[in-house]
Amino acid sequence: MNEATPLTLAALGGVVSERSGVVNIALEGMMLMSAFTGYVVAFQTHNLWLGVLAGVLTGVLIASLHAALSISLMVDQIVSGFVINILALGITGVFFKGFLQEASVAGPGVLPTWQIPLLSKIPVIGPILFIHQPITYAMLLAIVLIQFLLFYTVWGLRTRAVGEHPLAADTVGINVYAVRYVAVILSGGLAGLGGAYFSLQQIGQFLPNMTGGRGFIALAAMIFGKWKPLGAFYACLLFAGAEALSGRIQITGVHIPFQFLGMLPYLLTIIVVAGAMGRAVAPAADGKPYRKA
Amino acid sequence: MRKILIPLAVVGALVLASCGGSSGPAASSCSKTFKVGFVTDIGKLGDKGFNDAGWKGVQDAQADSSLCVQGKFLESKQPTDYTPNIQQFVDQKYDMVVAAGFLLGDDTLKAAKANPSVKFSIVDSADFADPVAPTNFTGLLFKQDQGAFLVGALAALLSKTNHVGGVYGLDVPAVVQFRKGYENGAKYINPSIKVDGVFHPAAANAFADPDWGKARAQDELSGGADVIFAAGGATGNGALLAAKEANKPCIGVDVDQYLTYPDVDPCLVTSALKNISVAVKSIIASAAKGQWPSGGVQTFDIKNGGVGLAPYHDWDSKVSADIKTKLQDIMTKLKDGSLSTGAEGLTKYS
Repeated sequence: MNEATPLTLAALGGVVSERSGVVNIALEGMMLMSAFTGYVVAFQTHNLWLGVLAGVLTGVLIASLHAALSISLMVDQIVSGFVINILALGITGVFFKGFLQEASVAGPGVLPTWQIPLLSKIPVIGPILFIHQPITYAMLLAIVLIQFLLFYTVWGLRTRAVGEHPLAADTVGINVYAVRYVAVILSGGLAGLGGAYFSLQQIGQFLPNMTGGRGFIALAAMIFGKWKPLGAFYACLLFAGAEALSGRIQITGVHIPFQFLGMLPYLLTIIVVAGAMGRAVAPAADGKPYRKA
Repeated sequence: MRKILIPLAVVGALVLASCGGSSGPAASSCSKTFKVGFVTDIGKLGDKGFNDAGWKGVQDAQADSSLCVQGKFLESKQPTDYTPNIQQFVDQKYDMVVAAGFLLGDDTLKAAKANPSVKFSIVDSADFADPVAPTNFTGLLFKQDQGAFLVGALAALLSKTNHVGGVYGLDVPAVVQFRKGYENGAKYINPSIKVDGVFHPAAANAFADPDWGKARAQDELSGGADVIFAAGGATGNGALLAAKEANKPCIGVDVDQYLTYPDVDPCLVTSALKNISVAVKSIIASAAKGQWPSGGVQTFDIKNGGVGLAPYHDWDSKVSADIKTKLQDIMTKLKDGSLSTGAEGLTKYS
């Protein structure tokens, strides 16, 4: 569950953004930037919560950039996302060199583990669901919230409409741009929280490229979960589980090439995209900039 | 297109700026500076271990004003950066290139053959297979299995559950020797001990994935291991952190991690030292003074202080005199050759 946390948050971000018709491959870069700023703020203020907040805000800020580039300026969404990913790698690298690397001092530590009274005492499911660090709880809440928002509210209906057929949505008076901006920015906030997981919940340090491509695995999970919040969550559990399993198999000394399990997420995604498990169809207008007539 | 170009240009500038750096000019009294280029592996600087130690060796050489050394580093983000990074130094007429790590072995050897006037040195690799090794190429090899054997023995002596664990980076020879040495050391103390171990499966970030390292160490701890040895750059640092959070002893690698990674000081018993900075400084010094060894291999082992144990620091009072004596005994036997780690020169784990 812990390892699935950043994957799920990023995948939820992907779901929200792509449901509105904006491809967001910048999740990786958003997470990395947020991991960085979150750490820096926590380190300077000695307050982990301010760090988390900074992480989320960073995600929001970068997502605004992605939104401006891809919605208003109609830059190709893949290109914009790609640029943000490289930018994040470069910026965090430069500042890491400049300010953090020499500092051989203890970091701000990690977020506390919260045991929910009573509920955590339930056999079997208690420890699985109710003994976690804050960002993991936030992830669980976010799944429920996004699932509800997307499928049971007017906002969700509008977002999905814009992602399927922006022209139709426009003709009935929905502001396509506004809806997409909101979705992309929300997506950035989610990815930002996912980034804060790395530096503030799990490691208590920032390291270059510490997100290690998990933003891309999250995209795979989003597709695997057929652009649904719950589906994406299950996919993330599966992928994180595969990673954990790969480790356990090695630890117990079974002789399977351990590299093989490392490629499981990608393999599964290819199978799903190829249509082996029912069709996985992206929102119809996904990736297409909308130009108001 | 114009709209795309502007961000791309900004990004390009930042990326370029991020991958290199120098540490100031050589002393002014020098008539001619000896320029040394340092190329990291994908672990990059800031790993608080391997790459940082290599770069420190260059800096130490530079600090010695009699050598007139001027150093600069280039970081490799991915394996395809190795050759271009080396070539950049060659093109800029550097006198010497130091490559950090086995992963750069082939690229460095090729560059050495193509540029006989430039001196090349590489940590953890040597010209294993080539019968006509170029004389401008010197490998710096460490018997890391000896340091690992010692910490393996120490882990076995500290374990109360008769079960210890290790988390490793990519399965390159040096890391394989760390793992096997650790396992053999633990079994030397207690033949029935259970020793967990796990290599990182992905080449791209095998030494820079603390999240993975932490999770794997937690797996081992929850399976009953009660000492964690970590040999895998930042990946290993994640494992150390897991041990610290579980209040179990942990053992670092390459450098004295008590000094470089204070977050885990409470759990860090010692580190399996590999005096990379000393080795790098010494080879640069020989080259700068015109005493280049004409290729071949320089080996750093427990006898010449190339590998060993870091101080116990906070654990000094918690490691019993009995354990210290036993380790001292192993050290003596390793030095005089009456004890073998069984992992020397190993390139594949089995």
